[in-house]
Amino acid sequence: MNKKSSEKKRKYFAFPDVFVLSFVVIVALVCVCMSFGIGTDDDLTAVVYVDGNEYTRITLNSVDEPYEINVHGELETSIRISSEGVGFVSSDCPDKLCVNTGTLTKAGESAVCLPARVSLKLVSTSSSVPDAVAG
Amino acid sequence: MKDKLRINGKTLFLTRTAILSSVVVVLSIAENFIPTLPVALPGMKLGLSNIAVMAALDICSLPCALCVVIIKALFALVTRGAMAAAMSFAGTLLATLGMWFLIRCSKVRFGCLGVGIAGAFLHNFGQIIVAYALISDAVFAYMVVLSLASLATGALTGLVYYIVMPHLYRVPYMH
Repeated sequence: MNKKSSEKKRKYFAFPDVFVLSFVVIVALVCVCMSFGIGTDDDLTAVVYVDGNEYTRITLNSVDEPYEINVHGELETSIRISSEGVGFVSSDCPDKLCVNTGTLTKAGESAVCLPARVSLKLVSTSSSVPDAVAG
Repeated sequence: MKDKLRINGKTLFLTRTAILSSVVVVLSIAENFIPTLPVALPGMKLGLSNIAVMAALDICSLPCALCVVIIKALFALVTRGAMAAAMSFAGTLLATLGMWFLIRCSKVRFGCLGVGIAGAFLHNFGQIIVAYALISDAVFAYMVVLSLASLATGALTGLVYYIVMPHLYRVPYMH
């Protein structure tokens, strides 16, 4: 039916394949950059839970100056909030796992202080993924 | 092959499409039997059915390949539901058009490697677009993984097609 394809056998690797290869790699790199960009620019909301109940909800885009809030659960904790992210800065718990988690910057990340029964979670406002799954 | 019978073009088209469609369906069943790697994310697949689509484009024509795509999507609709069918259709359609462009429309001749990778990449890309429309989640991070994975799976499907191709050409009335 098609003379052209039957006359000459297709090689496994021909020079033009380099363009296909490099195109895919470039797309991958661009996506790496975009996913980093989205990680901070997304409409992120920090949700603080005390004893499993929602305590407060802060939209990070509306935060101008970084500030800290004190949350009283079983123990005293303090959470730093800035437009880039949120994280525990101090807690009266013995293990300090929550503080060591560092600053959360991407949707879906969470930090928990189990002894104080305080947990902190970042959700994307534009995302339709339910936030009950992690609770 | 020497004394080729005269066969109606429509009959040839129907037969070729039927054979290649059955190959696609069998390949997509066989793919489900391969255990997924522990590192694999959902949606990461080998894309064996791309081999049959590649063959359809190479030895037959674009309409033949498009029929194969539609039959594959119908198969997914019957066995795995509407969501899977939509994703399968979008991915395979995009892959088919891309591979058709590389095989037919260009002056330069791409190798099996390039065609395979382009097919695998566009397949993933089409599925991502549908996933984005349906779930609207941050998919760019996922895109990185899938495009890198398509380099490996595309190289593999291209290699398989490269091995199978000479045998396909030996089948009478297949091209």
